[in-house]
This record gives sequence, C-alpha cells and structure tokens, in this order.
Amino acid sequence: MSTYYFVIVGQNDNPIYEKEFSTVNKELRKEDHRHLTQFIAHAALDLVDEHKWKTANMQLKSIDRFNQWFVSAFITASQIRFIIVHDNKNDEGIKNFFNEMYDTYIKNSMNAFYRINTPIKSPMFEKKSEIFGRKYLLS
Amino acid sequence: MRAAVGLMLSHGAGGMEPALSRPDYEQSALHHSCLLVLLRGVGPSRARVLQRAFEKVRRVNHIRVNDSSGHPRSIWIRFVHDHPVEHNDWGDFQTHRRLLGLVTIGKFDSQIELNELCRQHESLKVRYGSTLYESRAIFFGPDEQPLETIGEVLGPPAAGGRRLQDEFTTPSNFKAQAFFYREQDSCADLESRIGDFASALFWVLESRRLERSREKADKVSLLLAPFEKRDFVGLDMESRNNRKRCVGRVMKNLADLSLQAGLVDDALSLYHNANETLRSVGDSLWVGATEEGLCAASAMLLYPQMRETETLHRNSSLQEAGTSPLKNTPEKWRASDATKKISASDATANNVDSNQPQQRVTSNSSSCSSVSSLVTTATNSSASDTPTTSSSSTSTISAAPIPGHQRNGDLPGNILKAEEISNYYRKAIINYSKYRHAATIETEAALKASRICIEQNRPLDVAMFLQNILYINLSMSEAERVKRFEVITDLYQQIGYQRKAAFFQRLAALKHVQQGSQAPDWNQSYRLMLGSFTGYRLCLDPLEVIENAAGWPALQIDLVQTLITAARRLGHSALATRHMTFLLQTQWDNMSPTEQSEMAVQLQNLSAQCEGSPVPLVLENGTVIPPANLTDLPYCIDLQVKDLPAHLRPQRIKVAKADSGPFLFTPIHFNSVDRRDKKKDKNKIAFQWVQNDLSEVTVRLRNPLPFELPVTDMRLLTNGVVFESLPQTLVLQPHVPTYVALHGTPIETGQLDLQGYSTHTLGVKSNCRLKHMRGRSFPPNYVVDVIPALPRISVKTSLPQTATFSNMNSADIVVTSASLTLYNGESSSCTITITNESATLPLEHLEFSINSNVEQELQQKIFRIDEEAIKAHLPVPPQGTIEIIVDVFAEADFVCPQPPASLHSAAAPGDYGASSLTHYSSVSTSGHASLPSRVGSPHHRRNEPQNSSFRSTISGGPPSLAALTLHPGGGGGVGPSSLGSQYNQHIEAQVRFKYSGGDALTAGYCRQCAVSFNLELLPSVQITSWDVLPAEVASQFYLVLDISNLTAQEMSLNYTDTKNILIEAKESCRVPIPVDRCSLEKVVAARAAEVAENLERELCFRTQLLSFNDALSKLCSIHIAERVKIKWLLTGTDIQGIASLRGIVLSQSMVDLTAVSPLEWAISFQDTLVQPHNEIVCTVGQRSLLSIQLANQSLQPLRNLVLSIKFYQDYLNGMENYNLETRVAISGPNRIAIPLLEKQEQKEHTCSVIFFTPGRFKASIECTSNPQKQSEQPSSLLTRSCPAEAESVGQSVMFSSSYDEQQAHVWKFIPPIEVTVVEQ
Repeated sequence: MSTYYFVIVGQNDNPIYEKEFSTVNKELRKEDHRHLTQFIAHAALDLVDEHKWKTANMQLKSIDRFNQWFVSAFITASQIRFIIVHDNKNDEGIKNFFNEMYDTYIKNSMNAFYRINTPIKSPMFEKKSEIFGRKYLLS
Repeated sequence: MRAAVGLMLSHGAGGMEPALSRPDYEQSALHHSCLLVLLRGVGPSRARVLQRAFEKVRRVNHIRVNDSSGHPRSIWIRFVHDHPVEHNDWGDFQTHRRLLGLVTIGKFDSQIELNELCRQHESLKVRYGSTLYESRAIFFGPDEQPLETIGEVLGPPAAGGRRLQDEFTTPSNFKAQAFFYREQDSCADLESRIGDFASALFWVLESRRLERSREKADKVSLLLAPFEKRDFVGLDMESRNNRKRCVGRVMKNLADLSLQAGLVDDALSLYHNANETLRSVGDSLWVGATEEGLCAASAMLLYPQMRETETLHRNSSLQEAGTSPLKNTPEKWRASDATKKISASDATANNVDSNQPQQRVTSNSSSCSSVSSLVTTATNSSASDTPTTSSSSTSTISAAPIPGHQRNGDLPGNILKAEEISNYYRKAIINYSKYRHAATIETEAALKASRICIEQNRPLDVAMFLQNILYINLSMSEAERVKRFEVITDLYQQIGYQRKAAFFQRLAALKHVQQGSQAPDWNQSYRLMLGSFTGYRLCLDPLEVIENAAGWPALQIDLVQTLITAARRLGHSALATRHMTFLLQTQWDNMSPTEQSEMAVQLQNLSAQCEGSPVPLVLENGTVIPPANLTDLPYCIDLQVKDLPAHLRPQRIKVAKADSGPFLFTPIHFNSVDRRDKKKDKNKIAFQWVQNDLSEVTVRLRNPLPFELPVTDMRLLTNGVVFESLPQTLVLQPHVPTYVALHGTPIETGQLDLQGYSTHTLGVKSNCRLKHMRGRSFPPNYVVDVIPALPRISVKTSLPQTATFSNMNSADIVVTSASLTLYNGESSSCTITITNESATLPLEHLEFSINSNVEQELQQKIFRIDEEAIKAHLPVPPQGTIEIIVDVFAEADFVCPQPPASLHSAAAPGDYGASSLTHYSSVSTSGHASLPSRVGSPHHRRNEPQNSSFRSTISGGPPSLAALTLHPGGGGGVGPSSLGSQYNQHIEAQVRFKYSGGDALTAGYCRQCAVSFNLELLPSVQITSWDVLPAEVASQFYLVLDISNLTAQEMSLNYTDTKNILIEAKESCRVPIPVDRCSLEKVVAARAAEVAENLERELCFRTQLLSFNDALSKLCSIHIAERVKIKWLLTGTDIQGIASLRGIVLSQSMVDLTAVSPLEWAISFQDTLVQPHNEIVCTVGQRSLLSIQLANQSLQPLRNLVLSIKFYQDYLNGMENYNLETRVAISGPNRIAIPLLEKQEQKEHTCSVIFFTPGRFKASIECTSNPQKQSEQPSSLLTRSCPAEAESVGQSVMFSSSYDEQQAHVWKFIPPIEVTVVEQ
C-alpha cells in the first residue's frame, strides 16, 4: 500500500496543481488525516527554499520527513516547486516522475493563455499526470 | 516529599513530580560551565511583592573570583525554578546537571508562617541534599516598623542586634543563613549577598575539583550513569579494560569540573584524553559525553555572546511572549568573525602529538600547583612501587607544561573548529542513541546542537537536528510532547523557517485538545494556533491578507476553522464571531459555493450569541485582534453618488450670469475647466450637496448566497464634515442585483468624504469601504462639496395642474404645472404662490425668467410678470409666502398667410373692343402687366389659383362686388366660404425661478425651479382674405375683410366704433372698414431709411429692390394694424378679445391705394370740374372738351409717367366692353408720355371726345410710371397686339432693376367718370 500526494506550489506558496495517487480506496482514508499531507508539504517548503541554494541540481531528493511520511522535492528555474509527500521509498520513480512532469509543465507554460503562478486546469496536463503517476509511482 | 506542597512563582508546575525524567528544553551548550542553583518561592504565592527579589537574585549570573593563586576566574550561575531529582542522579555523568545551590524566597506575617517557610526550606535541602553545597533563605517580614538598615546575621539564633530578628526567630533545626528584609525594603545589598553565596559555591566546587585531581589512578572508583549500575554487577573491576574505563571516566568528570570552575583550557585537554581512553575500551555512552563536552568547551570560547542572547531569551520566555526575537545580523557577523579567528589560529597551530604538551602553556597557577602535586605524588609512587602504563602516561602529561610560555587571549590549538562542532555533536548523539535510557540526554544534546548551529547560521543542520528529535524513542506525557513541539517551534522560528514553525505550532495546539486528553487546554491551543499565522502567510489584519494574496488557501481555511473551534470552546463568542468573519472576508474566493453557504450559516449561528462589530478586540494577554468586515457580503456592483433633485440642485449665480453674457466662448472655457478638474481628481464629484438637505447614494448590491440575505442598519460611511446617515433595511434575493438608495443629511459645510457604507448582516456589523473592494474600479473615496444651507420653497398656482409630459428641455426642474385654455385674443392671469418652507432661512434672492417653445418676441407678448412687485416683497421670512401674478394674453396671428390678388388689378385690361374670349385672355395678360415688380414666380402662382377659385365659386360676383363698392354700409351678405381653418395651437412655457438666501447667497449659490405652463390657444377669429378698395374720398380707402368665426358659438363683432355684426359659428362674412390713408411723410421717411440702409450695406440691386418693397409694404401693414382693432365677443358668455391685423401682407396695388397718391387730379369735362359722383351729360355728335391736370405733391420727382384715357361700357354683369371704336372717338392722343414731373410741378392735357351713339359710358383715367425704356418707343403706344405687350413686359423687367427709386405704380382717378350720352 502506498500513497503519493503531488502538488505544484507557486511562488506565493499557492498550490497551482494537486493530485493524489494511491493504491487504496479513497473511502478507506481516515478523516483524521484531512489536510495532513498538505500541511506536511507546506512545512517542507522551508527546506526546499534552503536546499535550492545549496545545489545546482533541480532534483532535491528526499528533504524532509514526518512520522511515516517522506517529502521529495523538485524545483524549477522559475522557482516553482514540485512536492511529493509519500509513505514509501521510491527515489528512482519519483525522480522520473518529476522529470516528466517538468516537461509537461514547461509545455503548459508555453500556452499563451496560461499565466505563470495560476492554477493549472488543462485536461492534457491532468491526463499526463495520471499516466506518469501510474507508471512511475504506483507500479 | 512534603516539599512538593510549595508553589513556584513563575511557573505553575505543581503537584507531584513526574516519575520519569524529562528533558531540560532550555538547556544550551554553555550551561555546561554553569553552577546550577534552584531558585524557589516558598509559602503563599504573592508574585508582585516578591518579583523584585527574584529579579535581583537572577541578575547575579556571573561573578569573578580570584583563586588561591590570585588569578581571576569567570564563574557563571544558572538559576532554575524546577529541577527533577532524577537529574541529580546524572550528576556524575555530567556535573552541570548536579544541583549545587538552593535559594528560597518567602514572605511571612507571623512566627507561625516563618516557621513554615523554614520547614519548607529544610525539606528542599533534604530533597537535594546529596548534591547541595550551600543554601540561602530570603525572608520578607511585615512592614510595621520604620525602615532601617539591616545587617547580615551570621546565624541563628540572632544576636539580638536587629529589631526584625528580635521579633521573629527561626526554628532550632534551621541551619541555613537567612536574610531578613521588610516588605517595602529596597533590598540594596541582596545582590552582593547572592554574589557571596555564588562565591561560596565556587570554593566548594574548587575543593572538589582539586580533590578529584589528586586522586591516584589506581584508587579511583568507577563513575556510573544511573542506569549502568546493574550492568557492572559481577564484573571484574580490576581488569585492564575496566581500569582504563575507570581512569577515562574520572578524567571526563574532572574535565566537567574544570569547565565549571572556569578552566576551559584544562577542560579541553582532559576531554580529548578522556575521549581517546574511553574510545579504546568502547565505552560509547561516555565517549559521547566527552564529545559533547568538547563541543561545550569550544562553544564557550567561540561564542561567548550566546550567554547574552540566552539571558534575553530567558526573560522573553518568562514573560511568555510566545516567540523569541530572531538572530540579527551583527550576531551572525560576530560568529563569522570568530570563524575567521579559528582559521587563523588553526594556521599557526601545530597538531603534532609530540608537541601537544607544549600547547598547555595557558594553564594558570592553580593548575601548575595541582600538576606539581601530581608530580610529587608520582615521584613518591615511583620510588616505592612499580608504575603501571596508565599511571606513567598520566604522570608524563602532568609534568609537561612550561609555565613561562603562557599566551593569554589566543585560542588553544585543541579547540574544535566551527564545522567540527556539528560533527562531534552528531557523533555524540549517535553514541547516545545506542542506549535507550539516555534518550533524555540525546534530546538535550540535539537541542544544544541546534542552538549552536543557529549561532553558526547553518539552518540545514538545525533542521536536521530538530528533525532527529522527533524520532527519539522517549516516554513522555502529552504535556511533555506539547512542550517539545513548542521548543522546536521556537528554534525553527529563530532560523527563519516560519512554515516549519507553524507546522509544529499547529501540532502542539492539536495535542492540547486531543480527544483522549483528560483536560483539554483550549486556551493554549488557541494561543499556539494564533501564533502560527505567520507561517501560513496569514496575519490578524484581514486587509493585509487580502493585499498579499499569498499562501495555501486550503490550509489557511483549515487553520482558521480550528481557531474558531478553539475560540468557541473557550466561551469567547465575540472572538469566534470575529474569526469567522475574518474567514469569510479573506477566503471567500477560495471557497466553493457550498462552503460559502455553510460558513455563512455558521457565522449567523455564532453571531446569535455575540454580534460582530468593526472595532478591535483586545484579549486578556494584550493581543489585539483587528476588526474584520464582510466587505463582499453583499457584493457591491456599483455605487453612484446622486445629485440633488433638479429643483433642489444648487447652482452658481455668477456662472449663470456669465452664461447669459455676450461672450460666446465662455461655455467652452467652462467645459475645459471641468475637464481639467476631472482629470486631476477622479473621485471629485462635480456637483454639490446642500447643508441640511437630504442626499442620496445609489448602491447596486448582489447577494452571492443561495438564500435570502437580510441587511439591516445600512448606512453611509463618511469622513470630513458631520453627516447624519439614515439607516436602510432590505432583504436581498439570491443572485439578483438590487438597487438600494442610501440617504443622509450633511450637517456642516465643507468637504464630505464618502468612503463606503456599513452593513449589519449575518449578525455582523461591517464597514464596507470602497478602497477595500477588490475586482472593481472604485476610487478610494468620493469627495463631495457641501455648500451652506439654501432655502426651500413650494410653488402653487391658481390654475389647475396638468399631467401632460413636457417636451421642453430642463423639464426635471418643474415642480408644478398650470394649464390654461384661451381663445385667440383673450386675456387672463395666473397667480403663483411661493411659500418659503425653510424653518430658519429667509428667501432673500428671487429672480425669474420665462422660456417657451415660441419666439422670444411672441413670448413677451403672451406672458408678462411685474418684476417690481416681486422685488418689493423680498425678503420672504421663513414660512412666509409671496404671490406673483402672471398676465397671459393669447397672442396669435389672425391673418391668413396667403394674400389674395388685387381685384382691381384683375379688372384693368388696356385693350379695347375685344370679344369675350379675347377679353378673358386680356385679363390674364393684364395681370402680368400690372405686376412688373413681382419678379418672383411664386407670387404669381399664388395669385393664379386665387383668381380661378374666386371666379368659380361666385357666379354673381360682379353684382356683389359692385354692391360692396357702391354701398359699403349695406354689407350683410354671406361671402365665399373659408379657404382654410386655423388649428388649435399649443404653447409650452416654463416660468423659472432662481432663489437663494442665507450663507449660500453670500457664497454665490442659488436654486432653480420652474412652473410648467400648458397654454392651449383656441381659434376665434380668422381673416381669410382681404382687399383694398378706393373710398368715396381720396383721404380714405376701404379695407374689405372676409372674417370667419372659428368658434362653436355665436360671435358679436365690433369692427368699427359704431358698427356691429353677428357671425354664426363656423361661418364668415365680409365687412368693409374705412381707414385713413398713410401720409406721404411716412412714405418719404421709409424711403429715406431704405436708401440709407442700401448705401450702408452696398448690396446688389435685386436685394435692394426687394428690401424697399418690403419696407413700404411693412409700413402700410403697420399703418393698417394700428388703426383697425376688431373686438369680438362670444354671445352668451363673457369671453371677449381683440383680433389684430398684425402680419397682413399687401400687394403693390394695395400699397398704392393704402398710401396717399402723389398725384393730385383736376379733371374738367366741358369746362365743368368733375366732382365725385357728379353726373355728366352730353349729346350725340357733340364735341366735348376733356381737360386733365396733374400735380406732383410728393417730395421727389416722378419720371417716365404715362397718362392713358380709356372709355368703356360696363354692363354690370361682370362684362366690360372696351371695344368702342364705332361709338367713341377721341381727337388727340389718348396716351401721353410725361418724362419728368418735378416736385409741385403741374402738367395739363386736353383732348376732345365725340360720342356717336347714345348710352352710358365710363372713362378710366390713370397714370402709370414705367421704366425709361418705355418712353423711347413712342410709336409702339398705338400698337394693340399682344406680342408687343409681352415684349414690353420683358424689357421693363430687365431695366427696372437699374433704378433704386423706380417702381411701377398705377395711380387712378377714383371713382371712374360716368358719362351719359343722350339724343338731342
């Protein structure tokens, strides 16, 4: 059983895309953990902001941990942060997922009607995210 | 222990101590060098009285002591309020955990209380007795005696020298020193006494250290951590490894004592040696302790400023400020400087082991003395016994230092580098983690490491250490977990990790109120969550949150909701309402419609307990919660400041005068000024409001909720002058825009600043300001000028009102209307009553003007107002009235616009003896000839139908005309039917009043209102046709009028002073009116004026001719209008009026008859002067002499005159026979040309006439003025063919334009001469 919470955070700590990948049924999720993964992702942004000046690599790998949850991060040149809150180790898969999602994000940013730092509502982006999530995270 | 009964003043931790040890979260690395002192309050807690004493005691945290050799030592003291006894058990492991001193502070009022304080002090001494060195008691007695100096008492019982000590005595079992003070004593010497106390502690510690250093290697006992006792049961303590372990642990303990005693260099060396020794035997726990000790000693030397920060931090913590201040730049700079110093020192340091002993030159005399003692001991031992390896090694190191090479101020070579400290701490923590019982030690080590890394400005290391704390397997209570979270929060905040800090603050808050908790602490939960706002990019001011528009909305909403729950559980309804309002105001756009609806309902329920209001909310701890407003609930779509109603709108009097001035460009300038003003201030309102007058602002609102939204007490928010807003209550339907009018009254004059409106909805009062409304382009405010109060008037009229819509401009200023129906020519009046409705202001200025849809001149004739009468009544006092009378006259045009042709002109052909058909054609041609000046074709076309219509409608015309001519007084027959009827005429007018008074008049303002007049003019009399006929005398003429009665009633008509005629409804009749002819003086004056005008204008000839003709025609028209006044009266009613002949149009023939003829006739027949209506008789065949004399009586010469004589027979049936060649013969010319007739000149012409047959004959004698070209063709005078006439007409048309003063005129001898021829 594994759960991945993927979020793209804008420059003002505003989430512009959220997606949850899980092998368990949604109905089985506990109500007590409402927003817990979001709180963990938000708290990890401090470490992302610190690590981005320490390394030239966009992949920041696993930077934070809280109980059974790990936080992996990816940061773009325009300071957009990709965060995954996950409960099992899958560094290679997460790395590949980040790379693919980064390409998809770049293509979406090239859309003249999309403004940076605003929520992503593209169906194509949603579809790509679903495909890469199942391919690299849940397999 | 009975000591647990005591209460601490600063901390509320009471009750039984926890069974398990808990971490000391406030411990830092520098505390390794401090002497631990317990500072406890005993007895009843009175914080205010004893707080000063606590502060004074705590201030003594550093003293300088000269040791036995005279060298100074820096001794630090750490005061704690609570210290678990279990921590004392770890005193051997780390000596800074051992409680060395005890200070109690208490207040007593009686001997019994004093005994109780002493008992509690003794209990604490017994509790910590295993480690205590010294203790002191500070007692505050009652303040009954005057203040006096109190000296130190060396011991109980008192010597009896002090009064307070004489009053009270300590129990016999009380052994500690006691300091007695009065309650109000300033305690001036308390600090010095505590200093002495600290010095005493030092000396005891120093003796212990020296004692430890003198221990022989083979006799040292094994030092144990509390949980290690059973590990060594049954082991051989004399083995090689255990012996090395004993020596290593003792060395480590000695290092701890040296550190506390101020010998940092010695401590460093001892730590290094102990580390090597213990590592060789695999003693991980104590190896970790040595590593931690190295870090502590190095930190003391590298970061001494941490003590100051620690002091500030502790004070801040005591005050429960929540968060300590972040590190500032200078401190980090100092840390960086220390790092540089380390590098420099490291460059010069020599780490070769062989030189290691030589670096210990910094040891002081005491150390040398100790070393000397050891050397002595070693020598003695060597002399008596065989030394072991470890003993020999120790002796060698001790004997190495050289006293003469001491270097003060330089860092020792074996100090850890800045980056090494983190590594050593990490290794220590790893070693600690191998022992489950050392979890507390591990936690404290991690916290110390974090604080060091904060000083080193290495946030990643801080995060790593703090994260590791969470995974230490430590059994602790929920309260301890919360405490841990709070400490972690504080450290995260110090490194600037606000999000992390907020995360753990929230966790701590949730821990406080977990479901399983027995006593949920909602107060702490609320405080922590409120403190976590910064991390989630929230702040208490909702305007800042909206302005930033940053953060994670879902988390913000969740946090605020939890905060609302905590506030509600606290029972603070106002706080819950405030936070719910805050949530709706800041997160409205981030919630779904369902959530919006749910939150709104929750707010309604919360506010039912306590209403929300837009004022700051101050909590008990001093926190101020700014007000929150439901700015977008309801949502304001539009806001417009309305002008006053048009009739109440202030206007500038000067501007009005300027507008009416002669300069055409004033309005443009005014407009441009307005444009410039608008560009400068977009929120500046162009119009003004009036003081004490009701004003209006229109707001368009939309209810975004799916249910009805009641809004009560909605008012305008204003600034500037005093404004009295009227509340408005409404219910908004879902999603439907609703217009709301908000009213108010400005009380003062000046500038009114409209900032928005206030609402009361969902139980919350909100100030909705324009500048806070997002997504709309509202200016921050609207500025309206308020002018002084203007008087108000009410207007009534004596006429009935009308509901018809007015098409005139400025219809909005009409306050009342008046309708009136008049017949043309009728007079009436209207009384306008103006009442000053103001209670205090007089009406001091009142002017009026009249505007209507007719011309200005006609308007002045219709409406007349007496201005002087109005001014005489001013000023009108409050509640006073003034009456204005408007005279209304139904001015109308009674004359038909189409003038008929002259009958005489049509009956004046020039040919003789033609047949009937030829006669008819001649009549038409003659018409052309008689009007040579009528160059415009339209004139002729109008005349032609008139002639045709005239002849076709009247079969017996000639007899009737003859009758009218011969018997003008007998007119009574019905004339031809009316050619047209006049329709009703509707006149709209406005009587406008501009009024002012009071201060507004001084400021130049006024108001304007209007009374709408609807005047309906009914047709009464219509003059359908008219003509000018010669009268019996030359000085008069007959004006023949066809008058129609267009009313539905019988009309009595007085057309002269003595004559009266009745006209039935819708019928007409013909009346002759004798009128005097226009005098020659007037004609000459008109001509002179025309000449002057032409010379001035220098216009073309054609225009000049027309102008002269128009002038003369106008003169005659005015002449007739002045003399003819037709009075009419509707029979049976009292309606009467006057019909004017203004506007009557006269043709040239009519003008000739109207004006006095310039020619004077004298005609003799058979030597007898012909008199009017004389009968002339002659016989057949007899020659009769006809003599004609002409005299020019005008002031100007007449040119190109043609005198013609024609005889004809009038059959009196409309036919006239001019072909009398066989009956009449004229000897001599019958057409005589007179080229020039000077003024007052007389010409005479004589001819003979012979009649061949008897009968009645008429002679037509006329004189015609023709163009000059005519006189040059005398031979054509006898030509009688039509083509010749046509050609002549063409020539005269062509040449007539060359003479300004020449007009074609026909003057006749009136009446024609009648000759009766009889047989002999």
